[in-house]
Amino acid sequence: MSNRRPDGIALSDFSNALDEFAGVVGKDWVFVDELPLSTYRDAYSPLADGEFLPSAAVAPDGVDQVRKVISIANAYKVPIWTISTGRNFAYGGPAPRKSGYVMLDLKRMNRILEVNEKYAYALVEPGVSYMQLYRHLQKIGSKLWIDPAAPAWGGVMGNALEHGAGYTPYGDHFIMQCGMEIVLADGEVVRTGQGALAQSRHWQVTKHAQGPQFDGMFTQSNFGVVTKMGIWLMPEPPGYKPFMITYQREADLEAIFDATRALKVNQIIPNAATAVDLLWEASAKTTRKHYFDGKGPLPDSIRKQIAADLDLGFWNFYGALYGPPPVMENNWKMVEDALLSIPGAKVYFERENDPAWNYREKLMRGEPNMTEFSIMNWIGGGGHVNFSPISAPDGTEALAQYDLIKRRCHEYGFDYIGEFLVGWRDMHHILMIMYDRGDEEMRKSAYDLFALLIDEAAEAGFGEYRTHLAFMDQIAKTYKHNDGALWDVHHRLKDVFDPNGILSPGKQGIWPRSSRPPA
Amino acid sequence: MRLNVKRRQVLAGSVLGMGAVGIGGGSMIGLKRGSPLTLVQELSVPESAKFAAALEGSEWIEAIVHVGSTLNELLQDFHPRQGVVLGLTSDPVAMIAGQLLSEVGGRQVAEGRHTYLSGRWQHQIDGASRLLRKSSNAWPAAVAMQMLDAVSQRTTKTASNCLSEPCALAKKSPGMLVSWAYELGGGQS
Repeated sequence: MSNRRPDGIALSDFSNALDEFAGVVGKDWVFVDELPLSTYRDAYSPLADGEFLPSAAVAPDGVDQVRKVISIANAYKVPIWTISTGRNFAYGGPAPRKSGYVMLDLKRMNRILEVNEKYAYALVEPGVSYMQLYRHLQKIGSKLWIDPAAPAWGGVMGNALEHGAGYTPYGDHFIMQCGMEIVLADGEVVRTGQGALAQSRHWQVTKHAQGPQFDGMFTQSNFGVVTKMGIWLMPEPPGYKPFMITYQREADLEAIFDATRALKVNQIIPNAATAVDLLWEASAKTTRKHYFDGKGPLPDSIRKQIAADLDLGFWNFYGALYGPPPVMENNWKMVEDALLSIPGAKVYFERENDPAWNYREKLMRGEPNMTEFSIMNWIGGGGHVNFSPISAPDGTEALAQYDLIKRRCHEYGFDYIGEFLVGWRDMHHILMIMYDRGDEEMRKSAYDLFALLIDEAAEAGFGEYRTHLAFMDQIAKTYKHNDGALWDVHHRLKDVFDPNGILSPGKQGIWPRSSRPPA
Repeated sequence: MRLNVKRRQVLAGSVLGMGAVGIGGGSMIGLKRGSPLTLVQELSVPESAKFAAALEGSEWIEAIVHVGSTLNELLQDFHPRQGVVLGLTSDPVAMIAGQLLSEVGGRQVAEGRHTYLSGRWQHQIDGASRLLRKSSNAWPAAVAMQMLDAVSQRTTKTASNCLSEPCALAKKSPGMLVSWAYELGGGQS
């Protein structure tokens, strides 16, 4: 049995809580030994291995068991950390925010409750993965697409709740969710939107009901446990035209996003328009060792060699058109005018033996895969953590952000490996800081670089939309407007919804009163 | 639709059937000689192919899982139920397989790290390194034999590091590989 325990909980209380959990879910679904608990470690952590490990885990099978488990946790004030599939690697994976928490593992709740072909949605439980939903739709002959995040083992619900994104026109997953069922800390079960109307058959069709809309409050938060969620699915379009455009100069980034803005805002390119840097793209096909044996960032001459060898640009822009072929052809003319007018641009509609093209082309039509994990081979040793600032889809902002971040990466000895994605109006910048998990010095540098970037980006007006467990508090502090009024609201809500502070304490820097750091 | 998840499968991304390690007890699993082996071969990695080739003739090999460039096979076709699962793969495949196997109660029984640096392979492994030291590009076969010994408990777990003879890096090699083995379905004591 693990010797970890939640802070401030007496051994006898902890033992009683575990016994009572077992009484609800069965003793086979309460885990206390090191071997099963080791599966909740963050395999890619920028911290020392095993720094965040739970004391136990409990795996309920339905909403009634979730209610009972939460009620027991409340009685003993045991902190529980909720995960759905726990595949959020690069942001902490299945690990809890602090060692000693009890995992509330919802993987066992993996039912696809409904697929509605007519209105194009699914209702799922927390443990449903992209691959599972995709295969289910294939099996029943559905003409609906899912929108997977890059790793196929990720959870449909978990990714939406974490504000994750995909690559079809339905890529903003939180926008595409519709209707939640939530268990509150006091055990009450609430359904949002039309789900609150007992006779409603339209829970997954409209987000609206009379009164405030609360769904967003239960994303990236710790005010309740979401046990069901509706997700809109895209009807298979009559045509699909993926494309990739390569650009030869770093500075082309500015022109790319100035051109992209109008194409996105006007929905000419309906999916996530993505500009991928040379090394991210190259890492799906080769590794650094094939070109350079030294430490520090790759010299420019080698980057040019890689681009030439692999027929890549410094930026590699992916997008797709969807719809009836005449509409696509018409829209393509506008894309061509805007994006191919940049000198040196070269367009591809197919690429042979190119795993990067293959996996992105699949993702843009909703076919889940795990290929993106292969890019971890770039350094070897697999460690990575994603720094994810947001900006507007504006060329000057993109270039400013890129220059700032690349300079710091190089100072700390890392290659810049990143991509920019434009959604409806937002631009996500994903910097992947890769390091060898076996190299302690490199891991520590990655951590230090990340911490520095948070403050420098905030100073320049860029906030992160999502982060690793280790940086949640630091990022929360960068949202400083009016003396941190937003996090003050979060904390006031936390005190009302979860007065004992048992639900995922510290999630996104939202702490219960008892453990809240001084302002 | 609901996946048919049984006891202890809650922690799994794929559906595997394992013995339980719940609140009731710790596990002490002893590998028996003759346990069936499931081999994971990563098709795009040349060293993985050499490792597989060295083991393919073994009477213990019960199944081979071929992992292509999407790595999807780890989610779709990866259903070992007992015995030992092993491979010499890229680090991402080792990580994904390890996570899935651990989640169904698999216990890691061997791990080695193989890194290409300055014209040689550097091996960090459990067990004696004599064979590896003398090998160059044939080292995956040496690792295969060593792991076969390790999982059948013919060697003791003594960590060692060694460098290979000078050799080139194969064009499609990631240059950093992991040899790994997990034991499944060992029951409880």
